[in-house]
Amino acid sequence: MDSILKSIEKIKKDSQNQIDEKKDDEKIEDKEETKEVRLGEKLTISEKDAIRRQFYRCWIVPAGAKDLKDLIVSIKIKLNDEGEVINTKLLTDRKLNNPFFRAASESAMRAVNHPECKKLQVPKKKYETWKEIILDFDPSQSLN
Amino acid sequence: MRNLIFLFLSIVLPLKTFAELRIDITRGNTEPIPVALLKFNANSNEEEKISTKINNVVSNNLERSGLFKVLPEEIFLEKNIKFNDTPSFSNWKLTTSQGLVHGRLSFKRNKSLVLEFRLWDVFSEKQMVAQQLTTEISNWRRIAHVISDIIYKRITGESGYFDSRIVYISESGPKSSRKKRLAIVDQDGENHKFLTDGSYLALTPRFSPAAQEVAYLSYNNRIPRIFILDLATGFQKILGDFPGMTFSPRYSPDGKKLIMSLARSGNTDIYEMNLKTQKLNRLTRYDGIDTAPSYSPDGNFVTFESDRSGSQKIYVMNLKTKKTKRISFGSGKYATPVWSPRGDLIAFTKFLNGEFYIGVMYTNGKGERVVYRSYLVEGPTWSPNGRVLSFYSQAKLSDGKITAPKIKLIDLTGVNLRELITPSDASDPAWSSLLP
Repeated sequence: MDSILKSIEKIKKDSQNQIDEKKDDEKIEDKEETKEVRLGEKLTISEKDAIRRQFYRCWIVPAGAKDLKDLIVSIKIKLNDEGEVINTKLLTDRKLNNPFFRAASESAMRAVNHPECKKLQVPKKKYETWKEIILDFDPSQSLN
Repeated sequence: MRNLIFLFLSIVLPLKTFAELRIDITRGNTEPIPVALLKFNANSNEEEKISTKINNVVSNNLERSGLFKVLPEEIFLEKNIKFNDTPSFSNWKLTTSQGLVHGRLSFKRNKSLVLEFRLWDVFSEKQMVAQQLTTEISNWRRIAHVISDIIYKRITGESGYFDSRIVYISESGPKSSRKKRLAIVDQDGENHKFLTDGSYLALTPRFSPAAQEVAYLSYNNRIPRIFILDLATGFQKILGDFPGMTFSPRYSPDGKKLIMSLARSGNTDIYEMNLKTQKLNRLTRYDGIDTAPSYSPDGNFVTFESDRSGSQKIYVMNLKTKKTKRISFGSGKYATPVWSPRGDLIAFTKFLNGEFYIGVMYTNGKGERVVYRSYLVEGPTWSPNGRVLSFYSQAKLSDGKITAPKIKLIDLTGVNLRELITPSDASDPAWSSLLP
């Protein structure tokens, strides 16, 4: 009877070990999967460049304006999973009483509302990464 | 607990990272901004004629600035918008127009012109300007310039320059007996008028800050004199004889002083003259040539050229402390510095390797850029908003001939070169402020 009990105990332990091992395996697999997803969802440099390039043709730079380095405009855009801009918000709105800054802001807003930039070419699998983007329009290098 | 924190961080941190995807846009296009200008609605034939003329002047101004592209009416899906209606933006977006102007005008008692207009941001679907202007009917051209300035200012952030004039020296006749007359013209080449008859030599005109007077140098019997000409009345007065005058006088920003260089005892220095008392105040004391002074717009500084370092360079003097600093360090000779009315830049003429340049640099001497270059190019003057430069130039043709002097206009970024159309050869332009 003792030996039977021991055997049952052993079987239990073994099966528990197996379950534990399985759980550990699952944990590792989970971890790896999570890691894979996160890495995969980062935009590569060339993907970021592709988004950047799309705005080059839509943004008319306020070249020649005074104090260009002070005219960096940040706009947050929200996109749907098709890459269409569904919402825009000016983040740098505290300097709008400066006519140069207001004009620069409006020029950047026109870029994000431009029909040719209303739908961005983006990697669809990585929607979580680009569903919100902050765009910093910086005209300071426009005369270089 | 630790597991919970880990779980929280592993969920929240990546989301936060996603929310902050930032992309910097450091390039764009420098194409002109497409705008649609609808003729202002009118009720009679006479009103319609004026509406067409105003539309032409505004279109021409915006196009000539190089910052706007006025779209042709043929591509408009709507030719008329009631003044109080909101445009159908989807239609206007199809034209690629980013700005839309429409309005109405009417004559009141056959004497005055009442004009109302709106400017819309088509892509953002927002009104940018709604304005009413009233003037005499005969003033339609000026009102067109004022409308152009309002549109320009609202879209670019800078004040405009269309309601302004350029005074210059009209040249005619053979080299041996060249006739040099003072002449004035609107910035778009319209309303040309001679101000002197050519019986004596007129040189280097400069506007007063309010653009109502012109100070210029005349040589009669080889004696240089400063004349001040009142543009409204045509009345001229002589400020005095200046035997040692080496460079034209310029007004101070408050209009109370003139600054000039005078050669006395073989030494050329810079002096200010109080226009009320006619007293001279010497600003530089250097054994050499200090000349071509120009005030900063706040009147606290003066920029000038000097050969004190061995060759012609540009200097800036603080008028309170009298401290002077050299700001040009490049190769070549620098001359005729002129402070921008915007305050941020100094335009200059430069001579290097047999060629002349018009350039700009920041007031601390940094960021020197060439804007234009030619065989002979000289005398930059700023548009009232500090955005456009005017100067005169002569080119050397392939057969070695030198072209006649003509006045050019160019955006400070070095693009959009235009010629100011004048009835004869032209030199020495000076741009007014916006007209009062």
